[in-house]
Amino acid sequence: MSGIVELADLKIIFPTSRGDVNAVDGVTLSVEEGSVFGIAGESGCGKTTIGLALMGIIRKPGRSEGGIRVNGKDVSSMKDEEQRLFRWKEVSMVFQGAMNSLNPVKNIGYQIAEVIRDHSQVTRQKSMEMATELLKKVRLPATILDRFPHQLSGGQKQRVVIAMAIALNPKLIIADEPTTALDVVSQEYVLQMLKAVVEASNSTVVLISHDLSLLAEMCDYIAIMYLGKIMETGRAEDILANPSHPYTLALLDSNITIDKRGKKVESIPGYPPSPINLPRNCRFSDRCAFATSECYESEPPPTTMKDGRTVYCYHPRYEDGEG
Amino acid sequence: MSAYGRFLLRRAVYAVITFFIALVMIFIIPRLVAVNPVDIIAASQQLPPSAIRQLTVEFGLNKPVYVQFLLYLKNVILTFPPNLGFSYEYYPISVWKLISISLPWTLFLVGTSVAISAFLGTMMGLYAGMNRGGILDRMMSYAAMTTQSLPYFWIAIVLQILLAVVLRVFPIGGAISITDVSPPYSLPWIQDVVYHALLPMITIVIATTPVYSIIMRNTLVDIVREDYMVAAEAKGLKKSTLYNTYGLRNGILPVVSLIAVHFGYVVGGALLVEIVFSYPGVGTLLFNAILSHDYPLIQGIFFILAITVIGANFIADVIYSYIDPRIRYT
Repeated sequence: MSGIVELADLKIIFPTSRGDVNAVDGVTLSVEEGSVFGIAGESGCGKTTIGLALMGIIRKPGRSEGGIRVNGKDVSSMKDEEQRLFRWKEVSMVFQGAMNSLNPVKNIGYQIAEVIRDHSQVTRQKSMEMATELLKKVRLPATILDRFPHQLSGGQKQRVVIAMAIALNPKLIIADEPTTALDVVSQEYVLQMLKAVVEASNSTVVLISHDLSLLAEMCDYIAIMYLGKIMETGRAEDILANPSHPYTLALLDSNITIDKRGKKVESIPGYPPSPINLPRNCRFSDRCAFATSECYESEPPPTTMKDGRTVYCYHPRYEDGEG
Repeated sequence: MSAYGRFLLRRAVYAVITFFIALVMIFIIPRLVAVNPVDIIAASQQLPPSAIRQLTVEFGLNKPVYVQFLLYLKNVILTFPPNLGFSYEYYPISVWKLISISLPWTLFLVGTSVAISAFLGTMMGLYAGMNRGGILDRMMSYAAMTTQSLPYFWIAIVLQILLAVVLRVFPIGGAISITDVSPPYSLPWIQDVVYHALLPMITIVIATTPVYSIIMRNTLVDIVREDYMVAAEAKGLKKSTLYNTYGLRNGILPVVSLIAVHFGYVVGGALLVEIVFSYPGVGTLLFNAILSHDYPLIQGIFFILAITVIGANFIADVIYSYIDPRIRYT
């Protein structure tokens, strides 16, 4: 059975004067319809690039290789108008930093109504009524309609962005760091909101975040990315409880949780290598505590474990799954 | 008072203060030039001492400076039409009369040209900025660089020689044919006026369009990188929505300022173009006034200029606040 999102050896390349940047470098994954799929990884690993690519947005002079299929459609081969109608109607997005993703010169009501009107034949008045309904779903009063983005708080803006994302009942919602820019209290509130809205709409969600505890709370499945490539992917609870890739392990160790109180938080030694002219070995080998000579020689192939997860490592830590 | 009311009031107060400073400057500058206007007239017309005394009294130059200043304020602010004095050169024709004859020509010529430039330039800049690196964008950069590096009186002269002298498609200069006897505002009269205005208009349009297109394009290049533009693209909005409510609305502010600045032009005349084409506008008037040390006329033109530029900037501020709510509500 094929999923609502199918990526087949997806590569996204941005040519620069110093060489090609491989922002996404051979990602294969499948997202089951109706699930919440998390993509985790540190800054610059290509999470957001994948999110945008799912909508067919690859900013020039960037280009993609490999397959991107969303809802059974080949995203990379769509023509202008087909692509325009596909966007938001079938895949919508909650943007990273909702602060800046609203048009500063238009009021909120206008902006929500605008999306509805550009995608369907409804009157101005009807689209405004729909906008009011949408705000109600994210528990914002109708008075927000006349406000401008700079008059709202961060949490309010984020909820407006969520309301916009569900405006056309898309099959797939990409949530890119939906709570990162918020304080802890609003984070929790917005998160519950997102969860409730998603459950009510039966949409599939791809949740992009560097926050593992957020992913643990929300996701059914998860993929851990490092430097444009997936390190490990499978059921969220399996991976987070028993990480098997050394990178996942290190990432979890560097995560601050309440039960680690008094213990030292481990950071991962070194920095990610440059994404320009990547070496053809395991890209985590330089920073990995378990690396052996073969890790420096070639890229590890995917290994499927017994619990269904896929690991790209010669020395997976947690092998019980394999039996 | 609402925040918006306070904003408008503050802007209006600034405008009034600026206007007052301009008035003071216009008053002071000719007095810094150590030439007595009466001497100029006397020298050119060989006047007897009694007439010189008479003129000094008539010009008020026998009074102390602060009295002169107060009289000047009374004449320009409290009188309508403002009493800007008499031209030395065309004495006894009043400065106001001279300006009111040439101003309509300039308003028509330069006003139309600037309107065309602003529209064309903004649209081109919008398209080029939204499609950075596209054909229009690259062509525009070269074209703008070329026209910007040419002095525009030179463009005027080349067009004049080429189209008026060699090809004889357009008249060489003037605002209207000397032989034109049709009554003003009749159809043949209008045709004649437009025909005469075309070459100078083309010159101004060639010279100022790139200024608008470059400013718009450069603003857009920054705006296109904003998160809300990526979001707009992701939302699958219509192209017209992307261009109008995103690109144009967010990028138009600098253009509004530029139009306000160009208002000085519209009233003061595109000096060199008017001279090349012997166009009877304010530019030509000012040029002749400077050549003949006609200080009252120079002052009068500067006075009108100051009023319009300050007024235009105030209006630009108001328009700003309508375009960008962040200005209105803070």
